[in-house]
Amino acid sequence: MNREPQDDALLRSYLLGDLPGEDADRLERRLLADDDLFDLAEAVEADLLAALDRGELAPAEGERVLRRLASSPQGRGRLALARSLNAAAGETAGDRKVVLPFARRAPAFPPPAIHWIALAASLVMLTGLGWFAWQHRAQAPEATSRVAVQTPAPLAPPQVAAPAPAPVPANPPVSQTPPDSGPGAKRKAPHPALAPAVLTLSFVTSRGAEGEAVQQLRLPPGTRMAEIQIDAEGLDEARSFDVVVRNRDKETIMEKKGLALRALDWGQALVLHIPAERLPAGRYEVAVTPQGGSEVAKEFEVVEGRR
Amino acid sequence: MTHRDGDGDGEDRPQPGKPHGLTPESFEILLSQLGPDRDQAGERYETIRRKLIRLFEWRGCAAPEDLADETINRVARRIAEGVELHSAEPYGYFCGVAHLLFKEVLRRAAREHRALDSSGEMLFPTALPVVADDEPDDPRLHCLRQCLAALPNDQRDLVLRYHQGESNIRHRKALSQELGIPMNALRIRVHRVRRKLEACLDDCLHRRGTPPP
Repeated sequence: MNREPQDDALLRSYLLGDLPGEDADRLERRLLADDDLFDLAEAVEADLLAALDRGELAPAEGERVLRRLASSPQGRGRLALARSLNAAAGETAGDRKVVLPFARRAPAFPPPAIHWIALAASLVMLTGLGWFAWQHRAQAPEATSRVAVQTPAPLAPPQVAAPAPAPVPANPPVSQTPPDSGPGAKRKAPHPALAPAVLTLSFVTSRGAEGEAVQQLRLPPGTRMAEIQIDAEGLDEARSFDVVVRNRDKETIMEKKGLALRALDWGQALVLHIPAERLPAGRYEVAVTPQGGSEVAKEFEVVEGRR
Repeated sequence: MTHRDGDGDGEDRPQPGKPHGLTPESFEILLSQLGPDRDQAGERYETIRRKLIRLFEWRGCAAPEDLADETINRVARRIAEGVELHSAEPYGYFCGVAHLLFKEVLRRAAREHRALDSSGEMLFPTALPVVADDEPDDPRLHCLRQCLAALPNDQRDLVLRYHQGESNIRHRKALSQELGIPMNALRIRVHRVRRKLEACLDDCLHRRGTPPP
């Protein structure tokens, strides 16, 4: 199973169609005879698709991956799996950062040292989080239970007020995850065709009070999908929520029933995906109705952004 | 699955009305050439077929399953005619037949497009495919969570850790060092878990009646 490092470069060239005909024929003979090499080829393919989803490929390379590896139904299925795994891994990373901060590191220390350091760091983190939860509880008694169950609590206190418009961050710092940046925003240089434009809305302060700045969702040209994240803080507790997005004429643009909260890397949120084509520039309203509760609504504005 | 008949003259056409181009007799002869043990030969046959499908897919062919079956049919016919496979390494023959078939596909496509591209590039779509984004209540995500939960802890941890991180290459190097295995071995190990997940996901989506993406 110990493959030559040059094999993955060769396979990458083959998968992207860069290998001349005879070389490709020769490689295919090896692929058919060698199970490990074949598995490595599929692994390189999966890595390319995952990198495409994370926006790590140059645009031209991303287009080739999309065209060569994701144009068939099977290829689209593999891309969907890569995307889902990236998302699931992102959620898990958010959970684990709190519990085992050193779990992702290479073993720079002998294993027992790692355990003790991880334990000590975990205790420090948990103490800090406990203090944070207690402080938060004192400031917002109605949110006590929710803070207590949020394992992946943000390292920085959440912004209770959300006065500023939430621009779509291109490359936000990784270590800071304020509510204005979601998991889609933390990905670096996303592929233009795949990366959603992200807007994070919060009902904490005003529930759409007059005079509050209307948040903007910037849609750069070519954006296919918009992602609206609605901070769970400020919503009544419920198992599920109905969410409706309406335009200025009160026409329904998107409606989702029975939406459950998702754990994002900054906290719990409702996440709604809307094809960008349904969102021409203008004012919109997102209305959330908790199961058995009453509707709350908030306005936002879609503006054309720049790449 | 549509099997086709053909004699390698480049003029084959699909014959959807004929479900099996491979008779039970020629299939038995093919298996006997793939190994003395019938079960092992059957596994070998399945592996070859699966790999051929992927090879045709990577070459941009629209019906990779049909082409893989056609390759196998032609090999079986040659064997029935008296050609002997090298039992230790039968793959070369399959590959040679697959390459000939691919050239036929190219020729056919060239006749249709009136422009020959020997790399097969013309088989790929010129327009980028539209790929729908995941919805949070997407059954695919729901199924993936179920399938992840069904994995043994170490495999679930491995596949999730492999997909984590911003600077992914550095992150994976650290993971391979931690496990004490080379990077490509890590990739293969993760891929085998991913393949399990893929099968579980297909099964789950099928049970829920969800169409493929």
